[in-house]
Amino acid sequence: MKKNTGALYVFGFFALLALGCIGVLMLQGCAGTGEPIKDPILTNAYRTLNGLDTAYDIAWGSFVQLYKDGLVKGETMTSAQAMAWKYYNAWSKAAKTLKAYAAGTASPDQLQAALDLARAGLDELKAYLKEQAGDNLKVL
Amino acid sequence: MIPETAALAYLGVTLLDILMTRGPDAYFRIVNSIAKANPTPQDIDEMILKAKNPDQYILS
Repeated sequence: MKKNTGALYVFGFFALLALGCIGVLMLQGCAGTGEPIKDPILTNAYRTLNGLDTAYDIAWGSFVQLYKDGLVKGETMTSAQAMAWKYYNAWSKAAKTLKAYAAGTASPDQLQAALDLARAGLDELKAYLKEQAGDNLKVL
Repeated sequence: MIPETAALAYLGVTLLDILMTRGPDAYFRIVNSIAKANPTPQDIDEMILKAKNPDQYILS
């Protein structure tokens, strides 16, 4: 029995390793056009915004599910919703600034400031959600 | 070697977690967005359109 459990752990580890490798191959495959990055600021900002949105999607989606399951009180949800809107507005502003930067009407500093605000908003939101939901909350 | 192996295993766990909990759409979205270079204005518009506001999660 003990031997089987050990083998299971080894199998699990290698299965996860394989999944990681597949992920890396997919990332390379997606980026495999060999296209050089023309504007690293634009590319990095785009990736940052997508990463922030995915992290928000997982955390906020998980919190809303807990609320729907009756594990979060109404007043807690109201405060969390206000914070989520604050983050979402900061993210939207950063996305618009990215568009303006791509069009040449915003500076790299303006873009960076907008990204910093969105990141700070998400950090604040995640900290609050974690404080309220504890280990029940899913975060990236 | 060990940190790389651990990083690959962690990436595997994260991607699997995203796939299982958020579905293939979120999975491909994160993989594509990490790999994407030189986004066009259309890519940025698409990203903005896909982002859901907090109330949309509650209503869905």
